[in-house]
Amino acid sequence: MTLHWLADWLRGADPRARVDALRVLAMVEETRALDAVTWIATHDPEPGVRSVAEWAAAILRDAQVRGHSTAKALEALYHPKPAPDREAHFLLGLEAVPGRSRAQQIALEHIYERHLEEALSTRQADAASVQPVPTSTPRALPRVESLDDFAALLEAGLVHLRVEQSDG
Amino acid sequence: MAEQAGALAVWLERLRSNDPAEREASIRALELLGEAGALPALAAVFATDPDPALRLKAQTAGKAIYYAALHRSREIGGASETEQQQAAEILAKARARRADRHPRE
Repeated sequence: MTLHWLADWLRGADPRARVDALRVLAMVEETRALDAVTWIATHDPEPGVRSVAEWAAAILRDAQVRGHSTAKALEALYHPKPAPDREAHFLLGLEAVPGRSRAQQIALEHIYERHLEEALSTRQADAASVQPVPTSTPRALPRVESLDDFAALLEAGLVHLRVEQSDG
Repeated sequence: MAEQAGALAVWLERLRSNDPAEREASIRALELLGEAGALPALAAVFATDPDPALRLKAQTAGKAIYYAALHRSREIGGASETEQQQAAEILAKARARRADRHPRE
């Protein structure tokens, strides 16, 4: 289920759906919706919806004041920055590996970065300390099983894909 | 998929329980299920539950589900079908070359 229904509900004719959407936006502190929520608080034809919109707008303003944003929360959850000491250690480990081609070197870095991201996933979300939800959604991308696979992708200029790496 | 939808319906029903412990268990279960369809019900708890601790738990679960849904949609939308197909073909060829070099693996 995607999240398009949120915007649809917010613009929809059903006042209960608009209230539901406003509550969701407040709950997740979606500060990008602040302008829309503020507009509803002023212009919605239903007094009950305007009231909920005012409540939601206050929550979103508070979140904005303390520096919260969905983009930052996603970054903290899914792309935590490696600690400087770990990064330095990683770079040292890559130096002077004899007999390794440039493609293999880059491929190894990709694999190592992936491991590093997993190892360092401290999950520092903003104040709510939210943990990512395990997902069973099948990924559409192919699995990368070896350095050769990565090297082949490198040659094709496709390393920007977030391909899945096998455990083995 | 049907099993997931069934579980979602069960936990959404329990979320309306008068027992705070059952509501709390439902919030946790809904977070684990990770279905965006649970967001309105969790938001209702966040907005109206008499227990402040449960309101906070509902918000935490709701954020986790929301962020996971956003993350999934970005990852899936990140690569075009052509690129995915191209990558799959390249990997298949690489695997075939490897199999030729190491027939017993």
